[in-house]
Amino acid sequence: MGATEKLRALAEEESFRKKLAGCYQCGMCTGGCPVAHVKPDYNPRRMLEAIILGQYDEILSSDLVWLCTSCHSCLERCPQRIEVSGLLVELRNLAAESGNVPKLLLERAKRIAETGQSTPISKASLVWREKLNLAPVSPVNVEELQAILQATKFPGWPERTRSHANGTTS
Amino acid sequence: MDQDSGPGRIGVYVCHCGLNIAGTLDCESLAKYASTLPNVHVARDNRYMCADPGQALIKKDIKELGLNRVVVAACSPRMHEPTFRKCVSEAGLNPYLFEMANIREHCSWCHPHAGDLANEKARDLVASAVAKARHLTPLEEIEVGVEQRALVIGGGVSGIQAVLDLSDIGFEVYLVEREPSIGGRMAQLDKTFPTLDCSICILGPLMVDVSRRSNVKLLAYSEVERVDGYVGNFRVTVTRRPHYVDPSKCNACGECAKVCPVEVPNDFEVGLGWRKAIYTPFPQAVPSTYVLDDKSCLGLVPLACSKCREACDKSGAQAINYDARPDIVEFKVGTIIVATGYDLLDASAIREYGYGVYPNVMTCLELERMINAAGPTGGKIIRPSDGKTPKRVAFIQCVGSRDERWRGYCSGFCCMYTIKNAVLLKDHYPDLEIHIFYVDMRTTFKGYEEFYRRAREMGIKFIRGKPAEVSEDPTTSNLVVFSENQLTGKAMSLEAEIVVLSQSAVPRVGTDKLTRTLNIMTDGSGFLLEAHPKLKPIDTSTSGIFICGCAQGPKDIPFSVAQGSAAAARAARILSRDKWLIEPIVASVSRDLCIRGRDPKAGCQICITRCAFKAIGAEKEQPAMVNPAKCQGCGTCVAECPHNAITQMHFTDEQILSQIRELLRNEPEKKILAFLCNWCSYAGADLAGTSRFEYPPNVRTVRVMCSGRVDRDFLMAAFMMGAGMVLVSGCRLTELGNDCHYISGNVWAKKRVESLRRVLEGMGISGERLRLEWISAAEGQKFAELIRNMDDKLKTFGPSKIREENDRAKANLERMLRHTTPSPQVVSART
Repeated sequence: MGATEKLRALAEEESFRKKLAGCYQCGMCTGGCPVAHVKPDYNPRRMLEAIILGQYDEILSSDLVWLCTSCHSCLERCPQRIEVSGLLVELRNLAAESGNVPKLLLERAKRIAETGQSTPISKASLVWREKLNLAPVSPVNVEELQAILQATKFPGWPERTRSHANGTTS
Repeated sequence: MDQDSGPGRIGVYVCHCGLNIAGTLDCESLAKYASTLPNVHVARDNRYMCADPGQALIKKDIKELGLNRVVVAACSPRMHEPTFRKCVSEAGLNPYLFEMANIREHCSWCHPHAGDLANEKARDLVASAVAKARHLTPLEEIEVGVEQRALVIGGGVSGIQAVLDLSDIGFEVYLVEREPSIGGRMAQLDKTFPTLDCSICILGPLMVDVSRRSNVKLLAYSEVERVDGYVGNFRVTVTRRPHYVDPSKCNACGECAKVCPVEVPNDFEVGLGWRKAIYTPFPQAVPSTYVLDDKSCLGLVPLACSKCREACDKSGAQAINYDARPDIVEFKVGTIIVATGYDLLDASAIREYGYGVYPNVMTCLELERMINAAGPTGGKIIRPSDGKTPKRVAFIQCVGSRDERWRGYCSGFCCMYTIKNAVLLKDHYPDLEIHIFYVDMRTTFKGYEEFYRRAREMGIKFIRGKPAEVSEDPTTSNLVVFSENQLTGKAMSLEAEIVVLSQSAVPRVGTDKLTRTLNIMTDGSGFLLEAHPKLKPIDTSTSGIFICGCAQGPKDIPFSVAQGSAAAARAARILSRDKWLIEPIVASVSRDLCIRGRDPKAGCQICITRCAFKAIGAEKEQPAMVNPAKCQGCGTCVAECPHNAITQMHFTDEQILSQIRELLRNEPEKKILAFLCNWCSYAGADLAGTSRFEYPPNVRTVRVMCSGRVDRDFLMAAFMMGAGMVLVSGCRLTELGNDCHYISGNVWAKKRVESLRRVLEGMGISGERLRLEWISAAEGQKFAELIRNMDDKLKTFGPSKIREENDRAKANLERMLRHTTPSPQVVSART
């Protein structure tokens, strides 16, 4: 099943559909969204509306889904108790599956999968640490981490990363 | 002719209904078959039984042949039972000695292609009706006297309207109001939409009118404590809080309040102003007598102040008496109207809008009092933080309404009153900038949309979006509203000097307690529940008690007034008679069989707890008693009594068991026996026929008033007699609500069927053979589908498996029925 079909299946699933049917487009999610107030194109209410209207490709191909900061204000405020931010996480997962994922983000994900760290530790930083009498950086157990990543289907996991690159999904 | 002398002489009349019945069924043979049934003296068929010649035929036979039971095989009893009851009683027969076989909706219309199987079904339905007729007994309608007085609880505009209408018709009315003055919410409003009439100017005269009527007894500052009795005969106990001021002496001069040293927030001004401990709530209050609030007075106990009494005595009125005590008033009324109104949701609970934290966030009612010229600011709009006149005001709609975190429903009137308040503000302060944040504008009804347009013409801005947050700039005390403007699709923020919240309307505090006092129901939101949402919007499930105004749900003034008049008319319908008749299909307890009478220590409470109408009671160590005037005739207690001590008139165990026996006489293992409640499922099956939905003809229906009446014994007897499948169907019971016409009969049916199913499984009867379904009167299609589905299931089992299961369980069933049924021969007669 491709990402679009997965989103369709999610949107048409009975309990989810009923939950989403509660949305009467009041805009409380957008009104309280810190991103929407600085990036006017970003609008969680319209994403919900797009799902209700079945515009799945449109959402999954948009790079706006990557702007959510996961502050969960929308989830807290929604008068219909729709877990808006949780849904946005799902949209990002599906967007990634369909190959729509910012390159840099994917690089980071890959690095986490391989080294357990999102940012490389430079020699200079090690020197500073020593000067500041900070404890040495403890090594990451990459094997354990990979087991977790595999189990949680982390998008940066090498197999999935490959499939994202050629646009096929598992 | 002696109607009581046993099964006697039965006349059976088979109706052709033109070709509606005769087009499918062989009516002549059916009549011939009927004539072979025991006790049938005459059986005839006729083109239209309900037409005058058909009725004349019945009357003639009753008189000439001495018939003492009549069965008509025709349409649904829901259609013509009243017609034929009247017909037989005109010929001198008791109307309850009549029975109907539904061979149209339940047979000819739904089995047009079933051939002889349809005829077979019709024969069974006729035999079943004849069997029931054999056991019918004459019943008299229960006559209760009517106290030709009414009680109205709540003196808001809706209650006032009810009082005035009833008083005009000529009835005595008691009006009980909890507050010191009548007037309710409407008295607090400045103007009313969409005409901008001054609220108190149009309400005031009605309030005064109430106080002047010689046939209206106004009990203000009082609460209904206790209500006993039933339609026509309610005994009411009211507690009157002491005013400490004698109304016959008080001339409302106000000298007492002038000297009172105590100041407390004024409820009428929603806490924006102050009042003294001795006060009158507002200038137009009715009664106008001053009242001493004993919670804030310094001087009551011990006498420490007494300034007010000194002033009063000095003025010569001598009206104040500190020794006054609560007064208990008791009276009898025939009907009760509940008009207890609404409250507004506590806005401070909704934390994102900062009410109670930021001084310049206020509620709609606070603004309402501020706009009012007689209000705490003399009609000036000022910021609570600094007393300045604002330049920009924002309104937020749906505060708590349409919000699953608070109140899921729409409060209905807030769109209009916010427009009204905005228009008034704009009128008083033309330079004021007004923004209304809304989700949907709901301006239905006459003149409302035009008013909305007028607001836009005045320059009031409407922003579609539910604000997510209000924050305050601490340096200016200005407020920032964060929202989306959906029509631009952009997030936005707006700085305003005052923010007004339109909170949702909620049931008036104390509604819950009152429903227990009156034994009436509330809906999921806590508002009072009507007996039927469409056809009985003013009635409650308790006969003689009516509801009107916002107590039933949020509504505006014209609608509340209309309901007040409607409630008066519904009440007058009863009050205008000396006697009120109650259908005699009620329950009655046998003193000999009730365990409470036989064993003083038993303390059995089953029937008492099952009755949703509190119609059953019992003295200590005495048998239970049904109050027939309160009994609504569902039969739930009858089915629930473990000692078979209760009987429902016209739906006795004997009558229903005799029907079951006839319906299962031939090839029972191929039959589906269906118990259908009168109001929903039987009507649903009628609709299947009316809609010509075809379904297998092997279903046999038994009508009961409520699924709660379906006794375990009936179900066990059905399987003992060899039934293939058994269905119990009642009004819809889902997570969305319960449609039971007797409040909770179907809940007990569900418990009973589910527990019996486990017992039957233990005896070897497959659980799927006992079905419990909810079918509404609109679900003809669902009924047809259900029977098809059950028939498929029956075929999967096959007759031999059914017989095998029934045979295995038979001994156990017989034993259980012998134990529980008072007349086991009724059941064993079959074997």
